[in-house]
Amino acid sequence: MTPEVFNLIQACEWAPSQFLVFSDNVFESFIYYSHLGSIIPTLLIALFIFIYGRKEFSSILLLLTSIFFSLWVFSDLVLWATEFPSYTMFFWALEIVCEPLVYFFSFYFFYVYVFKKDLSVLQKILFLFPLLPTFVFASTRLGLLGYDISNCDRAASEGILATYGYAIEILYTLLIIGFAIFVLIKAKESVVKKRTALLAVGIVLFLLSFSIGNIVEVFSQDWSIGRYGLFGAPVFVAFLAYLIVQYRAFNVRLIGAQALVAAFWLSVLSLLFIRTVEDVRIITSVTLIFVLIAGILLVRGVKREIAQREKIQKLAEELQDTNERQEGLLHFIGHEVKGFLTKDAGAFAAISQGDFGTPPDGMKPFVDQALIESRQGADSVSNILKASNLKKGAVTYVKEPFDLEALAREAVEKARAAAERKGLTLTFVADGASYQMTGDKAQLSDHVLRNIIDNSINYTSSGSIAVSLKRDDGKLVFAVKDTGIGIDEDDKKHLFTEGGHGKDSQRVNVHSTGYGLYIAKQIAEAHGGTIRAESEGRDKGSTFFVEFPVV
Amino acid sequence: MQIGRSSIIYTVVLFVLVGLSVGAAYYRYMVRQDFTYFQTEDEIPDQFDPSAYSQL
Repeated sequence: MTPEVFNLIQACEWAPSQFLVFSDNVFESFIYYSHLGSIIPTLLIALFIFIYGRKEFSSILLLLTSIFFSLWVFSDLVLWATEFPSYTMFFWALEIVCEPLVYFFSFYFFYVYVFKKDLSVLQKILFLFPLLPTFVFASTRLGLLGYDISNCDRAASEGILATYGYAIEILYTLLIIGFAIFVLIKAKESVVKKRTALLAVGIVLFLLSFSIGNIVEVFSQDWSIGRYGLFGAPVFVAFLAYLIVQYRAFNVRLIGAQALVAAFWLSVLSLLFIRTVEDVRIITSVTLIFVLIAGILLVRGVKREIAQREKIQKLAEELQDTNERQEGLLHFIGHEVKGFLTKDAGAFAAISQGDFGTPPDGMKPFVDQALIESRQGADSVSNILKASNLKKGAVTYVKEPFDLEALAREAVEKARAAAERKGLTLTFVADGASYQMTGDKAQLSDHVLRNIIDNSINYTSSGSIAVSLKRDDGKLVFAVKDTGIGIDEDDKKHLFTEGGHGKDSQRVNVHSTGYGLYIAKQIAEAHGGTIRAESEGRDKGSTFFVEFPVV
Repeated sequence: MQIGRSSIIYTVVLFVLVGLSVGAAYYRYMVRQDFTYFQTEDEIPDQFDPSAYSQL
């Protein structure tokens, strides 16, 4: 410290500052409340939006706006507190750099949010251009002429760059207003107009509250007014945040609650700095207004939430009743249709087998085809009814000890005719171990083993189906490996779900209901087993595994 | 809208400019303490007077 500065500090009786911002030079502790009370909520809200919309460019721009705003406010607090002329000069210069940047990023944020696109490269250069003199000359006399020690106000004398800064701030504000008017005229959807108008009003009010001190200062030479304007900043940043969440999936009520809690924290924190009764009154009044607004919003939010929840609960109950009635109706229809199809199949089988005499020439192939389709139709309806029963838990299992190898061999033999019709080789191997288990033989045979073998036959156009049975790590492993169309990763996700189809499944197998593998999974799991499929991808075949524990 | 490559470069360039500007101010005012003290109000030049900037 030079003797000149030391003498100055002594003569003016400036108090020493701690941590840059704490000092008796700050003649009203109210300033901490206005400055910290604007930085903390502003950064909190912007961070909240940034975390939830990290990949959104507009969230990043809102955060950058808040960061430069906070830097400016912090610098202003240092200017109120410091006794060192060098600190005053540096932080004043920092304000000269940060202030237009707040306007620039506010404009950039507005543009990206409203138009859902970035500025073009030319626009970026064009809109950055006015800032360049500020960056280049902030540390010269054009920014600050010098330090005024003609009085004890601890002030720097501003150069022409400060006034230039106000001009470009007006420019960015006019750009926001101009683009907003453009959208209001051109946009066809009222929601876009409303959103743009609210956003423009919010940003302009935010910038106005930010600069109110400078504006009033120009006309009244009263520097103390600026601190009141800062209170508007977090409120309007919260307003901007509200606009963002209004049209996105974020939880507005959560922000309301957080803002309210932050207000309480700040009001308690600010009591630490209060020295006069007058300050208490001002702080209490400001906090009361903030808490009243946030409280009303929060209560309204909670009431709306409760009303919505009750409505959703009522709708859910009505939906459940409707579902049950529809399910009952579908069950009835299913049983009726299945009955008709079974009777048709019986009639076609009798005609085909000559129970009513030898069918005329050319009639038999049609009857045989009708018989196949009637049986397939009956099977499809059976599958849907079965899936419905499994879901309701209305299936009973008759469990008894049996030999899984014999059951698997029988299932393979039953499927052999279908495989041979398609020219596929169907093989079965077992490693000779014991495959005794307990379960519902009929359900396992028809809906698990046959289902998986038939599935492989349906989705394999050429090649082979290899069925195997082995004991592995205390489990009975039934596997069906085919050279069919394979399964890609997307299809694997809903392979065993109710009504789940692969992308091409119905193109390859038009009779697929999407319930077969779902039923197989339910029944396998009811026997303590698991079912899964492996495939290296499309056209690379697949292997289905069913594993049962050895009891 | 997600952030694109040109926006990242743009933001980085902007931050470099801001950093250089603030760095220069820090060096001049905090390290070198290179600024004028105005002893009286009469010494403070009018910011709109070009002669005030004969030395930067």
